[in-house]
Amino acid sequence: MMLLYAIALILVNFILYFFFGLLLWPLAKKEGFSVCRTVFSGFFLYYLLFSLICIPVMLRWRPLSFMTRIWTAVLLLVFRISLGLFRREWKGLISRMGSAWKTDWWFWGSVLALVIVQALFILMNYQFTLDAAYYVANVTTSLKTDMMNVYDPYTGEWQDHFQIRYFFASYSMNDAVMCRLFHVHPLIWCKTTMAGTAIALTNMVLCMIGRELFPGRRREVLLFLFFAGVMNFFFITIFTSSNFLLTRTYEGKCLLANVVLPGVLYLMMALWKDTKSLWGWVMLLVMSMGSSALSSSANMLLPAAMGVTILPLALIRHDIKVVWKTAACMVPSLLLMLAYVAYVKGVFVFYTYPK
Amino acid sequence: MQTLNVAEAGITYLFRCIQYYAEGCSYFLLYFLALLWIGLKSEKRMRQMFLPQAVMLLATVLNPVFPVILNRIFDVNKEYYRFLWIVPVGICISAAAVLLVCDHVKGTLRKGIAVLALVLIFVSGGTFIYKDGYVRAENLYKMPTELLEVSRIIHEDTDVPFPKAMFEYDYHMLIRQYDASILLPCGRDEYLDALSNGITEEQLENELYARLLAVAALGMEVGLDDFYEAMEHTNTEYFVLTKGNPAVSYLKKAGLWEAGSTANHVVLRYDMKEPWVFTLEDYSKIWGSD
Repeated sequence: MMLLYAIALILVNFILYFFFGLLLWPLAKKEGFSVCRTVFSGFFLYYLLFSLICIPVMLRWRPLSFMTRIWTAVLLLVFRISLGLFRREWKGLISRMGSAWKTDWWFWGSVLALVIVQALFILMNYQFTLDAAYYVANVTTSLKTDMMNVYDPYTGEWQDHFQIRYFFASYSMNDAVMCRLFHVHPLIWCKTTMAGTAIALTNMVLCMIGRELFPGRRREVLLFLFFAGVMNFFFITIFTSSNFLLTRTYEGKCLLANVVLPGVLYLMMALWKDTKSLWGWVMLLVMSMGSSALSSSANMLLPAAMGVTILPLALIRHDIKVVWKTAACMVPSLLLMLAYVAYVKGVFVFYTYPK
Repeated sequence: MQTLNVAEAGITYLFRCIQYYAEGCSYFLLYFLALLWIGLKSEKRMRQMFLPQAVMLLATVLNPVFPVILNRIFDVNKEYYRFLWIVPVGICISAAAVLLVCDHVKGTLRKGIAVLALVLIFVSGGTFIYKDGYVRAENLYKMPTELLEVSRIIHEDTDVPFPKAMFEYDYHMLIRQYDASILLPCGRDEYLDALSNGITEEQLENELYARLLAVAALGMEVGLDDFYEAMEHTNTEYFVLTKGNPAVSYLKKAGLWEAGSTANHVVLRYDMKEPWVFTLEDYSKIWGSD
């Protein structure tokens, strides 16, 4: 029963991302509606909003239960606003999804089958990974103490200051909030629900890239997904993104390596079609800010990924504005990276108590 | 990349980093072959999606000088490998494989090429994730079932809400993921350090937790007075060891008694002179003052 609940929560995550994505829907009218794109944008907006609320709450030493109440209110508000924004489109969307399923059922069914096979392998497997001693224990510790990032997950001891490495990366705190909200044990949430979510999101982004590479060629997209999926199982060292997907699926870094960085490539493909796409640039900015919640490494990797992936569009599309816009999107990550360095060098400290 | 150092390796750092990263897997080589194939055989659209990015990657992330310069600004010794995540190895190879299979051959040959592409992915691949066998999780928590029993035994036996216990390596890393109300006398890094570098006389003298680590991790027999001092001052009440661990007899000799056991583990309890109760910090006054 609990397994079914954990799996149902994967669906809940996708519904949440979808509703958050609908908030950006008015910007994407030119591109047309796409469920995958809505979930993709919603995922980043979700973590961006969570961070924006969670960080001040942590700085005021408020309990996890307080954050859970605020986040529940935000979720309800987002539902309300999204439903309002989308109220005229629901009928059309549902009938379009119905007809897409009717004509392409074999495609979507095969994609689903590929995801399920991968998920079965990964989710049923026992993996001993050292980093879980921090990341998962941090969720368990936060739930037990009803505080966020205040107690050392390794030992349970009280810490007098926040660890900056995990302070802006509020991914684990979102896990803790959701565990409290849905009354589920952190291990089940992290290692089944979030792991399943990560696997599905990874394949969704790959599917979106495949559809950009092979527009209108469903069979080719499937083959692309199949090859990419198989390669993951053979590209295993403790460092590869495939390893993070297959063994450390509960970590924010897994999402960074397998959703965010391929996501930059996807956005490049979207901007390749139209370098003036408002949705594309807003998404890049939201991604830049939202990814910091997943892992501090995002602050270093995302500007680099944007630089090597998006900047060439300036030459390809003869549009110099691409350079300024890309640079602007890098700013949030770079600022957070500077804050990290300053914190490590002792320029400032966030204490876990009023000083 | 703990053993690699940019300052020492200089411009060879990148190549060694890729070596560690790929460890015998030829996908990076295949990535460049895929780029070549895309450059020669694909339409302009796909070329523009992969080739300029590859040029930029060669100028930056895959440029041997880049980590050397970057390391002068930030310490990237341990984490430079993460920049390699930006290289779309899997995506590019898969796209090239699809082009190979679908765009240039037809009929039976197409199926043959598809199989060949798959074989190439297998052959040029590195370690298969389940090469040592597929271990199925014992339960939904993905924890050894015995660990859950150990947690239950400790809570049934203890008089305090947050008991402190010392475990062997694997359980030490796992227990707080399942049960954060069990405290540990030392963290992950101290444990790993003890296992890789051993424990010095100086540490035994100065670090109380090191004495407990010496027993649990290295099977050392420390002087009983030193051991009791460490137990009392770190407030450690329990030791959880596998039944065959030679330290079990030492601990029993030291006066610890069996509070319970599972199929393979034994939970030993130490009677503290002064019972110690861990309490959570009270933040309610701060909340009230705002």
